[in-house]
Amino acid sequence: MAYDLLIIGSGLSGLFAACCSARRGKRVLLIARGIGSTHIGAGTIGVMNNPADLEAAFASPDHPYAKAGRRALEAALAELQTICTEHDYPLHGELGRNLTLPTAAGSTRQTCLAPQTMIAGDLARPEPFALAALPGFRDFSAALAAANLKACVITLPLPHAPRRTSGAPHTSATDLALLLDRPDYREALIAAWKPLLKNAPPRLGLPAILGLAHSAQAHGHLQSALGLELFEIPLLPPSVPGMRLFDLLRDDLAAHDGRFILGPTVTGQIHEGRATVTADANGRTKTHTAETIVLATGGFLHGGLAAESNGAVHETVFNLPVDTAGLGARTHWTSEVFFGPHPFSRFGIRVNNYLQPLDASGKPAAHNLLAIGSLLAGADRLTEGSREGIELATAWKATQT
Amino acid sequence: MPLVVVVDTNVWVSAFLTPRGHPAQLKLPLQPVTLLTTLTSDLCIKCNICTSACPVAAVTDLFPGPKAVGPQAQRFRHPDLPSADHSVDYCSGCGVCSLVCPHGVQIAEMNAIARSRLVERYGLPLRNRLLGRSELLGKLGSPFAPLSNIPLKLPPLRKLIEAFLGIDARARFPAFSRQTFRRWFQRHKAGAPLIGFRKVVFFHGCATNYYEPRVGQAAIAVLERNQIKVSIAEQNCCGLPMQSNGDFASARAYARSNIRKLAPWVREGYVIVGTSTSCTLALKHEYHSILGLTGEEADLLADNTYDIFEFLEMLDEAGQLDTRFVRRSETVVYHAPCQQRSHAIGRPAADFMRRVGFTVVESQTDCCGVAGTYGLKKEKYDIAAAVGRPLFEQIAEVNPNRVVCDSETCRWWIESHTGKKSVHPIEVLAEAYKGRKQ
Ligand code: SF4
Ligand code: SF4
Ligand code: SF4
Repeated sequence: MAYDLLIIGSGLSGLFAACCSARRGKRVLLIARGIGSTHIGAGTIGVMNNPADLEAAFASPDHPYAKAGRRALEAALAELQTICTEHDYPLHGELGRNLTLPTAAGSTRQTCLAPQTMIAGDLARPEPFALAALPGFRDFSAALAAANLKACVITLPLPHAPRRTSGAPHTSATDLALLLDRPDYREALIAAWKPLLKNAPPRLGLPAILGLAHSAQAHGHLQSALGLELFEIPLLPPSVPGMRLFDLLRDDLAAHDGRFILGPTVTGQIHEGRATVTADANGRTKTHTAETIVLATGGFLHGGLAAESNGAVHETVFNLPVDTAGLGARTHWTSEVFFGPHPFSRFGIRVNNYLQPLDASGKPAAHNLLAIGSLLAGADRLTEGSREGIELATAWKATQT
Repeated sequence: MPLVVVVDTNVWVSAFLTPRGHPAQLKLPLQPVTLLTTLTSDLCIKCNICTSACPVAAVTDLFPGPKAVGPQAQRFRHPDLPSADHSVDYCSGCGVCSLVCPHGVQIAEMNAIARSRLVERYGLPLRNRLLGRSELLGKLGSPFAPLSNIPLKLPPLRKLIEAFLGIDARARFPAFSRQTFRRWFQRHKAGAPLIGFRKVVFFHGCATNYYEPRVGQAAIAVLERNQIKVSIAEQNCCGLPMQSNGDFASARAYARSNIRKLAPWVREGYVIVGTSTSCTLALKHEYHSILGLTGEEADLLADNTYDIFEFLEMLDEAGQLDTRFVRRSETVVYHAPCQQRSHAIGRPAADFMRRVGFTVVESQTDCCGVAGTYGLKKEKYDIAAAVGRPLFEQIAEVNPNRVVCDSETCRWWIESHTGKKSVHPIEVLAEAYKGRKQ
């Protein structure tokens, strides 16, 4: 089948680019070797930790934000909000005014958009809050977070769940989220928790487990029945809020007749200025062609970039040249401070203003090839807090051609 | 015998650092292929994506999830030492984890191998031995159908079986077909004049042969409509039920026998095409990566085995598919079974049904729960039902006349949990050629 757009990579940028195009009636194929960034992120959209730095990013020519442009960022955020609202999972916030939300360790983080299930945790609000300790759930320490956030802790036992036979603690956030999707389990939980929350402060923070497919209902149901505002705090992976984003974008893509093949390893070829890809699975190789091919494979963490022991870095699908800021030996890649900023986090693919990756001579590597998301050079996403903003803005721009 | 591993460090380090250089694709100086499978545990970065996607870990605390029992536990497994943890037995083998892992860790395959070590050490319960012998059951039951279908429908007997064997009394078994598919095929005369030069050996598997000849008949009709010469070579059970119950010795015996019987056909220019996505995946991938069978004949078979829709899509792309379908409108729920997903070929069956005029609601549930024989076991029935629950709910909501699914055990499981008739997509395509109204 002939596709208008073939996207490689199923992280936020790949999925979002696929959805945007499919919603415009394009024939879209998304291929990915595995699931990407959504499941290990917080499920929120960070644009820039300090909104004042955004102008500088737009003005510095090598920054991915400059490649995408302000209009793409604004339009991308708006379109993501539209899609999420259609799937009953509204995202709140606006560009230029960050929300300050608590982390599971009790520190704070800045985010531009956050789902409805999290926004009552806005630390700029004056009302006091408590954090819920859920005995048996290992991935969240309310005591640790509360000590740092100067909140109180309320211990809320989880009602016995069906099929809990081993007596072992609840294993994962996914497991609890699926239980909370069910009204009967929520009723049991409300009955157990209500008496314990009589004198609670007006806001209550919970680990991010409030439902997977039906989180809006779960959140609303518990809030009204318990009579307080509830907010979720994202956890270490697996990230339930990230899975919600993945699931809704995947469903949206399917609903707009987009194709999604999960599993194959993808290799690219460029022949006479035109890119094609072959997908390898179970020893079977299949070639795919498309008007436009979009590389959304991510950085080191997701396999879009790979480093060799000798200090060579390569892009894993087309073997495009990687901009390593002239840092050859691996010893120069990292700084002394664990949380960075590390020079290697700026490594990536150089693109022109159309997001076409450049070859060694600085010319577009292929006329039908674009690169987006965390694969692009020129930004320290962790330090800036710009990962999702860059993913969305570049993805949106790539669908405008 | 302990395995002595000599690793060329350079190769090893690059295997470590190159996400693309999945060790199986590298020329490691060691053979046992299954060792390569287990070595992929070193590609794990502990991101937990697999655990968040595992349908079994999501519904039971008896199973700590793929990351824990796969790449993590792998470090503590030694050929000479007993396994520290038996929870891997709760892995259903659905393969979702291997599919979602972005770093090429072959988790499900690793789990299957770990289970076989448990079986080697502690033996296989009679129940699993029985469930693994789908072919033998078929051989025994089919000649006496419909009489042989009665015992499994008698509740008191089922209670006894549950008590003594541990096969859940609620699990529904398919009815034996009096006439096997092979029998039917022997009498069947190819309808169309065969002017084409494509040649196919149809791998029918046990389910089509003993329980659902109609699926094979539909496949033959579709293939012959496209001028393809179809043969039914000597073949036997693919061995997957034995493999997934951990009895690798028996599974390998079946596998070797299939390789021996089918490779000569491939040399003659035939390709192997099957309707059961689990049988074809076994031939294509699992003989190699789980059972560790290598060699020229094994590779020949692996490289030339196709799921039937993968094959039809190839014909279509080559402009050789008869696309004069009689269009019909019907709304169906299509559940691509986990084994179909593991082929990583997309969902060509859904695309074909859409071309016929169907409205196809695709299930996004990764696994219906039964995973071959897993859900039939007493201690796992409830887990399997919980895994399938979102699918059953979706089916109830869409309320189609039929549910379409490529895997036989899934179809039976879906039928028993939803009360809906469930068919193979090739049956839909055969109808579309005939123009038969439902
Ligand atoms: S998804 Fe892959 S890399 Fe991530 S924890 Fe699982 S096995 Fe490890
Ligand atoms: S094969 Fe399926 S059940 Fe087993 S660990 Fe992987 S995802 Fe879980
Ligand atoms: S997978 Fe196929 S051949 Fe193997 S046992 Fe099942 S039906 Fe038989």
